Amino acid sequence: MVRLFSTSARAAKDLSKIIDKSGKLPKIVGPATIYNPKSSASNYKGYLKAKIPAGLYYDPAPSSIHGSTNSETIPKSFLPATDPRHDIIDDLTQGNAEISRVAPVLHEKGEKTYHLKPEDIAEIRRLRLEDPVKNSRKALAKKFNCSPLFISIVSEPPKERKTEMNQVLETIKSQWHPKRALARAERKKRKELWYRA
Amino acid sequence: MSVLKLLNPVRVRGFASCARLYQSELSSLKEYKNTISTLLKNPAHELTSPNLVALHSRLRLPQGLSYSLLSRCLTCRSSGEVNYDNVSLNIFGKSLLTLAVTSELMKKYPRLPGVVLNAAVDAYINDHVLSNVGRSWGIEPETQSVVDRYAKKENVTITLGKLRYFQNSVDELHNFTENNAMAVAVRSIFAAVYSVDKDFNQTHKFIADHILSRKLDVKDLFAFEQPTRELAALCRRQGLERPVSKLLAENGRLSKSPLFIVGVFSGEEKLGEGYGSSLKEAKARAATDALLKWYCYEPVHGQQNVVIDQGEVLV
Repeated sequence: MVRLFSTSARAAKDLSKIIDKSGKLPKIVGPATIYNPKSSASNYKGYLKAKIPAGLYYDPAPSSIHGSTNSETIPKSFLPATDPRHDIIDDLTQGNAEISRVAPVLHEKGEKTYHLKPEDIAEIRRLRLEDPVKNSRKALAKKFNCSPLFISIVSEPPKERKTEMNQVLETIKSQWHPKRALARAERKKRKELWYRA
Repeated sequence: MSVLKLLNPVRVRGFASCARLYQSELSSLKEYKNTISTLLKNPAHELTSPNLVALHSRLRLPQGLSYSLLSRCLTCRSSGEVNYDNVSLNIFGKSLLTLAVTSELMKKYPRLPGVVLNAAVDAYINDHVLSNVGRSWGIEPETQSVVDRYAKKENVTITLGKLRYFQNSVDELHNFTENNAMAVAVRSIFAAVYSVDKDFNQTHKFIADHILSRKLDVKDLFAFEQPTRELAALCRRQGLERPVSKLLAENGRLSKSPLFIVGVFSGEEKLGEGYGSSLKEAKARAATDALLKWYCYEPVHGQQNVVIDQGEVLV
């Protein structure tokens, strides 16, 4: 059988647009058509597949990694030391370091200061129990230079205050228009779905 | 036994001839009932019910498992059979199934939190699932009363191959649905397989074929409360850098239907990714995703030292 070198050379040239062999695992970078590396949607000849030589290629589905727990998407630091997948995960997640340097941070948080002493915490608790109206979460947070969330984690208002505030909330809710009540209920339900797979 | 009470000749006093007729009918009915019990309880007597033979070969049960024992598995206490029912087999079968399913799940997902593990075990072996397994095995419930069967002159071996839980009384104590009865019978069959098994391997294979072969997506069982805080606690515990949420892509921020994609990074490593129509939602989903990737970790087949991992993260 005579094999023409011109054909194989042309095929190799075409495939260089499709296969990236620079990494350890060859990667398919474009759609495997022989015509246009970008798209062949409006090709009058139809969709023709490039003849990719048999082998192992990395060609992940063009989708988000959200909700997947497979070997391709699990972070390397979540693997125990004995896991044999340590070696390949670096190859699969090459681009992430670059992205993490470029992507804007959602909420800039400073370094944690840890400036409050146990005595301060005791003081926060005392103040909140003493006069919960004056020493609200916001007021205490400002006074002790921390976040209102921190105040709610370390201290609790007196029980009477809690029941009183709950009653006020119930009164407000009872005055809602049915449409608003329905919208709020739906919003709550939608929010529960955020925390599921 | 309300029907039997109705047949009691004392109730129809005054009709002497009728009473005599009823008397003879009643005694032969009792005899019919006793034949069922004797056949069931006598292991030496070879019981050949078509239903039992079919069920035995359909499930490829071990040869040592007698038809009498199989019939016992199908006999619930509510059927009124005295001293020969599947109550003890059911208790043992439940423990066997729990053992096999729990160990298999813990091998497959060593990091599942306790609550999720319990839910997963339940999803494999709850009454509803087991009753479906029983129906797929072709176990038929007995829905006719003894009197009906007697009147039809049905062969006594037929009922011994059916799931017997029905009693002609509306006694609260025996208020036992068909699903419950089916699940009890299925659990008893697992115990019966173990009783004639030399080691646990054969039983384990039987459980693997019929219970563990059913697909369960454990991801669906998770519902987090504060995923961002939990993820921060996890990173602190594992000695990773503090997780930071970063915006990866966005579309139509000022439109009616915006879309954001947020990644949560620990240093330069991406832990998870989430989408949402608000930045808050995308951030929460990203943290949830990262936690799922942690909890649903599956060791590779044949990996050494698959131990039970550190427990869940306490916030």
